[in-house]
Amino acid sequence: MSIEKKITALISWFLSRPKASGFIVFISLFTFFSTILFFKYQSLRQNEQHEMESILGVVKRNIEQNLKNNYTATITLALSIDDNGNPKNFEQIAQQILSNNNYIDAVQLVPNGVIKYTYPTKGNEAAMNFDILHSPLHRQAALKAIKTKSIYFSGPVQLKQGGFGVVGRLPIFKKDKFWGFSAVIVKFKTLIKSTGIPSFKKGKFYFQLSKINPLTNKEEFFLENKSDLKEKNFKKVEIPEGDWTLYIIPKETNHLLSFSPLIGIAFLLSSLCGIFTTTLLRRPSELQQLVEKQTRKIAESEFLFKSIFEHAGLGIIHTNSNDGTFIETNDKFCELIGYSQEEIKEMNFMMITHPDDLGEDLENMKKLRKGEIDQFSMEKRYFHKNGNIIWARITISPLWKANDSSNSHIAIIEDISKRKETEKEILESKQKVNDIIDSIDGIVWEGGSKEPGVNFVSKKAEAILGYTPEEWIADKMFWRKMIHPDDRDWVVEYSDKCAHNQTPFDFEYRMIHKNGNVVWVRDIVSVYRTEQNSTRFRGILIDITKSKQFEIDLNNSLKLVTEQNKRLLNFSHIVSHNLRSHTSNIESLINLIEISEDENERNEMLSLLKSVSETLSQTMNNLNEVVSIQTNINPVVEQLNLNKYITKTIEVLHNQIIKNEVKIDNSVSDTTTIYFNPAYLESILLNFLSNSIRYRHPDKKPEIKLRSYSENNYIVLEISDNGIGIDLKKNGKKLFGLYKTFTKNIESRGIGLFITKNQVDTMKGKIEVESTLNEGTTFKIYFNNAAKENLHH
Amino acid sequence: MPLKKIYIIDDDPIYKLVTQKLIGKTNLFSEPKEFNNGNEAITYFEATTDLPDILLLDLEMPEMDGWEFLDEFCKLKKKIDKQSTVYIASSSIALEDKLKAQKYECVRDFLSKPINLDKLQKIAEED
Repeated sequence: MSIEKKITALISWFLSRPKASGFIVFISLFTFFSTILFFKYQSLRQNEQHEMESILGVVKRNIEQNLKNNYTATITLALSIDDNGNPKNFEQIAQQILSNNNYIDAVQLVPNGVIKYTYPTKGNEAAMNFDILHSPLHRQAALKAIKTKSIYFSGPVQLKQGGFGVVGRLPIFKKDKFWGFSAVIVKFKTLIKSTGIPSFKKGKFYFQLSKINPLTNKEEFFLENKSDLKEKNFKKVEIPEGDWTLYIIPKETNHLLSFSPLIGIAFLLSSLCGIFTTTLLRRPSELQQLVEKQTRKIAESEFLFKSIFEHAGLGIIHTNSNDGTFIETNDKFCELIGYSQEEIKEMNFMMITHPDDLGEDLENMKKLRKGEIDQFSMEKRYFHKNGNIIWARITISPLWKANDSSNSHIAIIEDISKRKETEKEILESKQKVNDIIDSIDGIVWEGGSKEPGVNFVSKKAEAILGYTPEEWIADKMFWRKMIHPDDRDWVVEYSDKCAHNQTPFDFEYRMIHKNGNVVWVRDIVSVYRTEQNSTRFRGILIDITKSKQFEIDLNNSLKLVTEQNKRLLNFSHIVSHNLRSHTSNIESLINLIEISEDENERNEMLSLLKSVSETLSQTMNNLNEVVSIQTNINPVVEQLNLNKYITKTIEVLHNQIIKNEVKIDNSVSDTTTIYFNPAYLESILLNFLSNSIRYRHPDKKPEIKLRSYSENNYIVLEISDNGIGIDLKKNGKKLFGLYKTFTKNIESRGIGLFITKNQVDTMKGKIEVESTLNEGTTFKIYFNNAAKENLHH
Repeated sequence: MPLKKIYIIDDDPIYKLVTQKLIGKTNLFSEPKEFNNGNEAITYFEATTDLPDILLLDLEMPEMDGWEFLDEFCKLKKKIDKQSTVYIASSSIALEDKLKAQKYECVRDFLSKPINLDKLQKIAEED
């Protein structure tokens, strides 16, 4: 386990360090290649050494063979010397030796160190009689041969007879007494040839031959190659017969150089491998770094989540989405619903959800599982362990990916009990305010100052105008539309003016109820400014129909009373004037009768008294008539054909009409009917028509025109004449007064129009008059067509 | 004491007759004249400038009533510049008529009918 771990750690160490790893690969490979090359080099060296040794061995053997041959030759030659010390058949033997030995150039016999015999003589004459023992060049070598009593080669030296060569000398002892030397001369070229060196010359090596110079004691080299061997890889062999040293030297002095391209290639290859490794590792390393970063992030977010989960002020639960069981819950949630963690683990959310909210919750969960919604929030009630209800706002987020099957979800639970409580209180208080507003016996409304329309209307609207507040608010022009057409213009104008001036106002106008009835309202409007500095209006529309009706009735009554008062006053005048004038006359007459002493005068007074009494009686009758009209509050009303009554009246006035040649133009339709008292109608028509005749113009033929038409609720009868006319400016007010006459006409009694007026008034009609002096008068009698309804209640 | 000229403006013939008789009995007034209404009187005054010392004026009359006559008469009196005292003699007992009468400078007093000898004597003595 720990090893595995270490390996994993190591690998990951490498994986995470691509440069280092690349470098290591490079170093490793380069070392590997270098080692291989080194070994290769070593074996090459070894092979070379072996070759050198074997070549050297061949050469040495050749040399030794030659030397042996030379020795044999010298022995052979030495054997030719007889016991006396004289050579026998020298020439013959020498010739034989030379022909047997290709590598001997000449043989000599040197008795006592002086060259006496040489074969072949030719070319060697100069050496004859050369005393070698006294030659510094040869003496030492000759002495050495004597001393060792064996063949010893001297040279290669400059030969006396010319040329360069070696001389092998075998000391010859006769009867233990030094005789001289038997010598072979091998020219240097021959010597070299005999070694076989030339056959190797073209190979990888070259040779060198050296000997310590006996005179200088220095090593002398004899072959033409370079003699500086200090730093060369060479092999040598000692040849004791001539104290020679033979070297073999490889031509390629530095093998390493030949390896340099290979090393270069190895370096390149290693570098490439290193770079490749680096490149190769860099990606995993980057990924690795990314993984580490992500891992760190995950760890951090997990930590964050954990701290949120544990320390958030909100309840957080992790729930199985399929069966509703709690997988994990935080302390806040436990605290909220009063169960311990252990208890909760055994429960599901359905158990603690209020049954009224469970349906919605489960429905939402169903949608969530089906993927119809991504998440959901709702407000619901939980049951606390102690049975209390807790209001909570929950937000559910699924923990599965889209298209995955549902598994679990996170629910965040916020305790909103307090908020709910406050909401409830606000709602209640709002409801209370609304109830109060709705209980106000008037339509409370609120609207802006610029735009028409209202944004609030209290429920009383329905009771007062028959329209619901919704209908009202929906139509901006509702209020205007509902105002009575007769009031609309001035009301809108007035309210606009007040809105513009931002002054509160209080006014009364009529509106139309949904059922068509007129509703009198008093609109009390106040202005206030909102925080946004816009002006708004609040008002209350109070139904004042009843009081308005009272007011109207009162006004009507007042008018009636005033009218009656006026009539009463008039009547009192009538009484005071007419009755008192008569009584005062009576009083005066009686007074005169009392003080009169003349019988005739007394009789005159009595007759006057009688006249006064009659007039008084007439006046009393007139007054009675007036009183009867005025006290008859409910005269009989019938539907009357107007034209019928006109015709009847004309008949009554027939004599006068004829007498005065009156032209009557009656265009009243036969179908015109009025609701009126028949006796009054007769009296009225008689009065106007007789007036028209009575006040005819003296210079004109009297003409009377009658026509009728309907106007509003009235049937109007127009009676025009071309009579003397009335100065309305002067007498208009007195026209219908009792005993008011404006002419000198003796028939004027001042009672007709007074009675007519009273009759028309009683029937709720009216009389209008237009007149121009000397041109004529037009009376318009308005018969109230609503008289029937109004009078019979 | 010279006799005072007295004119009567009234539409009631019986009243005028009785008043004439009473005037006659007092022997305090001369040349009594009578008019049926204000219009007749004004027309006469304008034409003759004959203003009486005393004028007995009724209020309720056709054509031109007492009030209308007073308006015209007060204007006329300034033009004519002659002493003339108006007494309203009416059967009216309405207070408003009495108050209205006081507003006219040329009205001396408001007499309620009937007119008797005492009242005539007082009128004569006052001037």
